Amino acid sequence: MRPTPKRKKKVLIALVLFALLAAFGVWFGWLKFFREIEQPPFSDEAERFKYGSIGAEVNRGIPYWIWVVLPRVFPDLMPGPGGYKSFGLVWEEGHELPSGFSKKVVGFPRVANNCATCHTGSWRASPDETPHVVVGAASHTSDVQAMIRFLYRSANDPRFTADVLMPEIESEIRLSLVDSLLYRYVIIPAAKRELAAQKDAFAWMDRPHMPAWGKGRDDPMNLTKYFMTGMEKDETTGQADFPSIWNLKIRKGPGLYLNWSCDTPAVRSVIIDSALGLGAAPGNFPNQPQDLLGRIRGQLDWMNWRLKRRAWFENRMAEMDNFLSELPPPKYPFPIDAELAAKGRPLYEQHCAECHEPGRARTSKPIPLAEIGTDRERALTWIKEAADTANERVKSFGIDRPDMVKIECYQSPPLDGIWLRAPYLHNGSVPTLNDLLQPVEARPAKFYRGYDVYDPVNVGFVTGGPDAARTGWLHDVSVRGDSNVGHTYGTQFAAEEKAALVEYLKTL
Amino acid sequence: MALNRSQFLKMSYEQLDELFAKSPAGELPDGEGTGTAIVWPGTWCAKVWAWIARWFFWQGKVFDARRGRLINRVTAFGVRAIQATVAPGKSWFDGRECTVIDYSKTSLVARMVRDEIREVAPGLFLGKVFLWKKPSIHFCVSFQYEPAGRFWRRIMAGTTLALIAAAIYLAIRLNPRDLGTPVTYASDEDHFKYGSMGGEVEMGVPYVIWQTLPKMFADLLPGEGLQSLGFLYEKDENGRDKDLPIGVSKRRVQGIDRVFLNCAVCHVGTVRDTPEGARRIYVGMPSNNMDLEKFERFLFACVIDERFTADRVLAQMDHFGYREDALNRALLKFVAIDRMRSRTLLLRQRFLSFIDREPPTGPGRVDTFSPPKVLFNFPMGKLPEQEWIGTCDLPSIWNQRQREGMQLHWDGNNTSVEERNRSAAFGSGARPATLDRPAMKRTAGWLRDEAKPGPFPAGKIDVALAAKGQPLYARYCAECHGKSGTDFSGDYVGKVTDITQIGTDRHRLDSYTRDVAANQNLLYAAYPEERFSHFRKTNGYANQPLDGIWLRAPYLHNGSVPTLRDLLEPAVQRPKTFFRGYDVYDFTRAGFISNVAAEKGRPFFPYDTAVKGNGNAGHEDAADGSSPLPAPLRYGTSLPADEKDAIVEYLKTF
Repeated sequence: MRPTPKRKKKVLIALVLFALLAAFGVWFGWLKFFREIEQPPFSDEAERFKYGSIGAEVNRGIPYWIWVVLPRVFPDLMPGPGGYKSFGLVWEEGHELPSGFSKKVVGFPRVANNCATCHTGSWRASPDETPHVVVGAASHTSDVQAMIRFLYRSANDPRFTADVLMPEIESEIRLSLVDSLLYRYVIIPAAKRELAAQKDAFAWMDRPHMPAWGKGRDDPMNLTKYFMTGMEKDETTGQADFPSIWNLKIRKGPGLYLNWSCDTPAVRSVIIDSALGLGAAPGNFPNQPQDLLGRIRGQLDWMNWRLKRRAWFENRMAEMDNFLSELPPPKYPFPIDAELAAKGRPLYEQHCAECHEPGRARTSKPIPLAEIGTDRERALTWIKEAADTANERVKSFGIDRPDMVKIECYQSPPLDGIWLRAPYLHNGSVPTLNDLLQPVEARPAKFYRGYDVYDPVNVGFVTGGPDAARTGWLHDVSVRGDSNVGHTYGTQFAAEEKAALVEYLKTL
Repeated sequence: MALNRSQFLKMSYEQLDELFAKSPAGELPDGEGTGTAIVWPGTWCAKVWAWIARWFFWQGKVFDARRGRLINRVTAFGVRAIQATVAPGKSWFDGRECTVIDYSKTSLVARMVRDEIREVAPGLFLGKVFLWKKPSIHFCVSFQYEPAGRFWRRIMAGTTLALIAAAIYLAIRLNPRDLGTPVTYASDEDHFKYGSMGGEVEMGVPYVIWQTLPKMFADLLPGEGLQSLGFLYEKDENGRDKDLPIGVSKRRVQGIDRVFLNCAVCHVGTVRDTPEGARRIYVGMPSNNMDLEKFERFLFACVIDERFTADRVLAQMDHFGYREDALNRALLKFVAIDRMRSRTLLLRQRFLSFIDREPPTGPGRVDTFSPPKVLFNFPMGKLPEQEWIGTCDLPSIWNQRQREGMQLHWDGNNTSVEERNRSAAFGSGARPATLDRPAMKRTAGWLRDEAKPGPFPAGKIDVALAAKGQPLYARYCAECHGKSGTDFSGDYVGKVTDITQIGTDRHRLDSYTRDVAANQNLLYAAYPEERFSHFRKTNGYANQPLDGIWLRAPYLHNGSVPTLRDLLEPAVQRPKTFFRGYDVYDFTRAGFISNVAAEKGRPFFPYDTAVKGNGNAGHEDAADGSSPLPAPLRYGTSLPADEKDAIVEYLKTF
């Protein structure tokens, strides 16, 4: 039958209506799920470091209101009272979010993490003091592993449903009917799906024989290995201290390495790889579901990344590099005995400077494992194959940066702001500088870490007492990867020499 | 084939006009014709419009050719209404003959309408509507045979309409997104005493149940009615108790009157001059009667009682004569009572997690910062023991303008009056999504500027002695507590004195932690200008202005010292045990009489300073007479007795 003009018109009307409907659908979908609103400006770069987006909200942002109510719905899965603060996060007075959390609207408000989650620390001179927050310091109080586990445990819990979450959410905010329905039927189910999937993504660290990260540590190279390369689970474990990341300019130069076992030869590479690890690039969500919906989302992501986000990301990384390079290390806040420190200086020059003074022959360089003698586990987690695959992966994002490498060693970092970098050694197995100058047998075998009251006598954080026991995490040097052996330099010094050296180290 | 009306719907507007133009005027129609509105002809929606118009608005016209009149059949029921004249005339469309239907002289509502019809087929008239002389839609009136059953059509249309109307009514009445309508009051003071802050939306108890519970569960109350928990009932104009006590507000949500607490439940108190004297109500004064803990426990006991079933509650409600309409009865029976139970059980679980660990508060005291902890649902079992007890005295809340910028709350943990108000509003059940902002603003404004302490009864102050006390106060106290009851200037007023210097019971201080403060930062986050950002952990207690201090007994943050005169004694000489809750005043020592154990069978609360959190130490000079404060300031406990008397006398003028 030939189409009559009337039929033609009908078809045309139907097409126009369909096009309008589709256009509305696209606009609505963009408005409610993809529209990005820039964060309000920050007063300075330090604020931006603590609360600014690194672009992870798109991929790994948790819907803000779900994030807010989770600790209230799942108190039994929390380590203790205090909401997210019970994970040891640094939460500045009056701030909406803990340090290291960025809030950004991508369709709807989302919360993601940034570098400050692991790299902003706090200290107090006494329990009554308001904590001093230091940007670039290790977040030695934060139990990131516990927080990750909390999120996917709650998502896998039968209580993670709209019926349970919505009343909590809607007593905090009067959502419009549309937003309420979107939360109920789209956002909550989607968040559950993606958060729950992380259980499998992190299965490697949940194996019962794997040591816990504890406060102020993670397993950096295994995280990189499993999430950047997708390699199969192996038996390595490499729990390591969060490093300080201030004053990065002294870490820059040919032949200088970063990461505890010289895994990366350039500051920019470390910054980029860490940000990618937090979900800044597409498809970088651990174990993102690969069904149709997941694949569609992935394709949209890639488009977005190529068009806009990559340029934004590279620019953000450059700015962060500049900021961290010039960020001064914090000054020792307690009195220093200048005379004693002066006596310590020649000891430092003679015994430490070659490996720890910026610009010297072996500073920021690989030190063979046999020579340093510290716990080997961390060095064994990273392998050449992982480095190669990770490099390829980063290239696939269209990012050009110096390649990661594999060297069998530990790196010898400069000691700027060393007073706030306790506990010491790559695995944080020695609580104070005084302890580090003790022979291995005399170093504490068990101590609490993650308590932020400072001990100016031993130079490190307080590791005992009821408050440290309550808020801290018990480090046991007999656990695999947590050993406090090695780096026995200076242990032979006389007591007064040690005191002088430690006094001098306070000035760095 | 002859034309029929359904074909019109498929023609275009122009085609209809063409048809109209070429048709003759025809005879004046007579009798009842079926009408069809032709809106957006030629499109798919024409049919829909015709259907809607036919079923709900306009069914047709009844012509009376002899009289030259017609009347429309309108609404779903075919009601005859809206008359018009019918006569041959010239068309406004093309100037030719047609039949004109004119409403301008006969109808008020349709006076702007003029219809023109022409007979396009036998018994079928096509019409054009002119509104304000402008051509508008077409319509047709058919006298052709129409097989549809008019009776069933009416029944169905009627039923559908009734169902839609009922659905709309229910949707409006039961809209869960509606914050309801509060009972409002003309005077600000009544608004403070009885006005709603919005807490009823989430926490409201249906009014009829509120009234039924004390009668139905009289055995769970310590005495007669809610009065036995410390609720204060004012008299109405007939001299009878009002139906709701001070501090209980009412709001209609989803068609049901609900009640819950407001600020006044904790911030209105009473004074009697003598046991036989009249009870005077002081608004803004800390409540000295209300035992919130007992009230909570009463509610909790009710909902876990086997009698708390919908049927039994409704039966008691009927028995005591509290009425609701049929819909609300059904709601109460099937939804509201069950929901009240589940909400109250949630509160019960959370509140018992701390009040069961604390010594009884007694009247006039409350634990302020455990409620936020359970609001955040902290795992209370893991709370360190030092945080367990947070009991403190209720404060006065007058003269708020002068307190802006001061460190508020006993430990001075917040410097924003507005934020402190919103924080306190959680106690009235108001959450960020349900807080009644205008109501809150009205109360806050009244507290800021209007609410003032009542004066110490005239004639009960020894003016000469007070004059002697003035310089002593100025020397020792004013820097921390303000120059007078109206002038709050002083270097340390509204600032925190470190716990090591003040030395008072530290439980309340320790109950508030950085953990709570951190989580409070998320409160009101949906409303950026209201988000909490001023909470801080402090390490002491805040120095307060002493306006109306005579009404603020017992003293110290935990209400551990019954009178001002006792406060000027060293802790070892202050009363170790006394009774709280008796409102007869001791005008000499400035405080309530505290050695009366019971009145007319109503027992008062025995306060033991040896109990945890109840300590009465601190705010005192050292045993050797020295003071931990910067000279010349001192707590005054080491002064000679006559100077103490003089200071107390002077404080009565505040």
